[in-house]
Amino acid sequence: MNPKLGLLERIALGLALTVSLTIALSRSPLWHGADFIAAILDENYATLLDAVPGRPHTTLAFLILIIVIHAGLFVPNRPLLIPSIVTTATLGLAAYPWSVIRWHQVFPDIFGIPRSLGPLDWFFLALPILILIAAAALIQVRATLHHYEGKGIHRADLRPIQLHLTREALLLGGIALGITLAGGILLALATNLPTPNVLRDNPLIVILSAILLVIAGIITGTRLLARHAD
Amino acid sequence: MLTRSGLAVLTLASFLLVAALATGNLVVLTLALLPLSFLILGAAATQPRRIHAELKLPERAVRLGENLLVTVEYEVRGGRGIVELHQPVPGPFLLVSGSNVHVLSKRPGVLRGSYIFTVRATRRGEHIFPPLDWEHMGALGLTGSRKGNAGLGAAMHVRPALRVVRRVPRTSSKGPLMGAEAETSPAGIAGTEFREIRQYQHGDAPKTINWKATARADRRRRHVPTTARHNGPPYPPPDHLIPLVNEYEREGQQHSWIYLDCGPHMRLGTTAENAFEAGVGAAIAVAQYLLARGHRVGFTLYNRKEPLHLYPDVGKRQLFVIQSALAHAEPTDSTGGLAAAVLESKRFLVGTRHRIVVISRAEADHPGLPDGLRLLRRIAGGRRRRAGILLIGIDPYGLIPEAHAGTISARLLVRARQRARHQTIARTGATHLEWDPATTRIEEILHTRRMVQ
Repeated sequence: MNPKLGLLERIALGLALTVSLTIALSRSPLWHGADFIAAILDENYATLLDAVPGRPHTTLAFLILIIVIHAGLFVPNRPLLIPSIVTTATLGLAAYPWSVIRWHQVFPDIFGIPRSLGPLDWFFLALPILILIAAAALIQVRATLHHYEGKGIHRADLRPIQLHLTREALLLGGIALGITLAGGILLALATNLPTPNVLRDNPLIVILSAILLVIAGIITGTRLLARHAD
Repeated sequence: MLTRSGLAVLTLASFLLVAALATGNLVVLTLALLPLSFLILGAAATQPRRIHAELKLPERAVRLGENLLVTVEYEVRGGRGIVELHQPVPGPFLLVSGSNVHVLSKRPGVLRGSYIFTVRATRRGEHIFPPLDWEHMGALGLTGSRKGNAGLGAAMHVRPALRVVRRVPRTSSKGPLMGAEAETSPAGIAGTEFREIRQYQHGDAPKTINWKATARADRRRRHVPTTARHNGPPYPPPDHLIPLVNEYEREGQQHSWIYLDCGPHMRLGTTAENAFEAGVGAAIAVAQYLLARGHRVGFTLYNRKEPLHLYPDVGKRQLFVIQSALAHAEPTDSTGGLAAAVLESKRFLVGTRHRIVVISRAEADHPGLPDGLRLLRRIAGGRRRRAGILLIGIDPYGLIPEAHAGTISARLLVRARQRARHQTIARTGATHLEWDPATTRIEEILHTRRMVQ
């Protein structure tokens, strides 16, 4: 039992992740009025942007995502790192219209028209994260079983453990979804509270956010939180 | 700490959190809760509070080569995930069936159970089974594993193997016959040492009948409870009742002495199988044979810092004494020689006719063996008769794992080189029996009487 992802599994994971991210990105209100992308491209490339009627720029997004994600899945020992980065960037871009900080006022060339989120929007935004968590859990379950197989325990004897781990992953995933839903409801309620204008469109918040971004990058890069990772 | 998978989930959560903070995006912040809560749920409250284990070994002593059943009973309280239980087995034990590693999936609550495996003892002596090792891994492996020990372990005493020898060949001695089977002492004086309870045979004295044992055997035969009152018809006549009699060890008229070599040259072989281990088995087999025929058997371990001498005695008790002495014996670095040990046991040999069995390596390059055999012949034989001396020469080269063809050729060269030594031993008057323990059992070699010419 190979604990790592096989070739077909990587391709399948990449396709699933790419499709879900493309759908999430194409459903974003970010593209409304984003003609500037077509304006900066040549006419021949501009036709690619309208390949799917009603879904602005889906084909381009799909092509970019499928190349980057599949390239990232073949990175030795860290197959989920680049897909995690790409997922974060894509979701951040797709959900930008719902940001409190209006970067389009800091950088006038970027703009978007926000609209309310429906359940389907939430589903397509959460789906790539669920796929990544499932992939991480799958890799770990297989590594655990491979570890005990290496100690001479037969696969038939490990089947109860395999079922136990699968049930555990599904249970934890379900609870995590519930917590996320509860968190979303709480945050939605919180945004209805009157908020002073100082929190909106404030360059100071932009600077503080940038500093936090850098610090988070340093922490992740130096592996301070994963000192004993195996 | 976190494993690779835990780090992957944390990284995803971190990226989403940072993106949410950078853009002030509540939607992305909500999405970050998904991997973060998954990580916290998978990593929290997974460690067991207590793991208890108890190792159960057979209560009776085990003999070399026997299988023994090992039972491990465990109890795990609290936590969830995967618990691996590993009962270490001492090196001289071979795993025969089952596994000493047990993996179980732990859910919240208390988990009790046991697992069994069988091992075989390949080396005599005292062996310690260490405490149980356990390792706990979180349910999805998001955090690192935790290890510990449980239980106290146990000790197991492995006695030398007990083999039954039916015949010992006659030697080339012109004096009294060596064949001990012809000199069993059935008419010897009954001693005071109890031997066994057996059925009555014609010629047994009535005073030797054990009435209590006879009554118990009769009740068992007819299934009658001892405390029940009988109000029914009379019992059926005891037409099949055979009395049981006490038998005592007979004071044998024949005397024998066994010498076992403990020198460094007896280490040749592997840790579990070497010349000394083979010699221990041979010594016990010969002692058992002689004692079963009423001989008074003495025993000496020589080539030690201080040779061990066991006073000659009869019966199973003497066999137990010899086995106990051999249970803890090991080869030493001393080469005091057979002659020194013979001189120390001289007082037992002089005056009575003994048959001597020497167990050693005939081809080992040390001068003590021929000198010791000559001294034995002089002391035990006396002026007018020659002592029957049997030398069991162990050939341990078959016990060495054959790594390549050169090893086989080396063995043949060694054997060819030792022919002159065999002639030297033959001139001492001893009967030399060459034995390869890798291919032949001691019972077979004594039965077929293969001697070195």
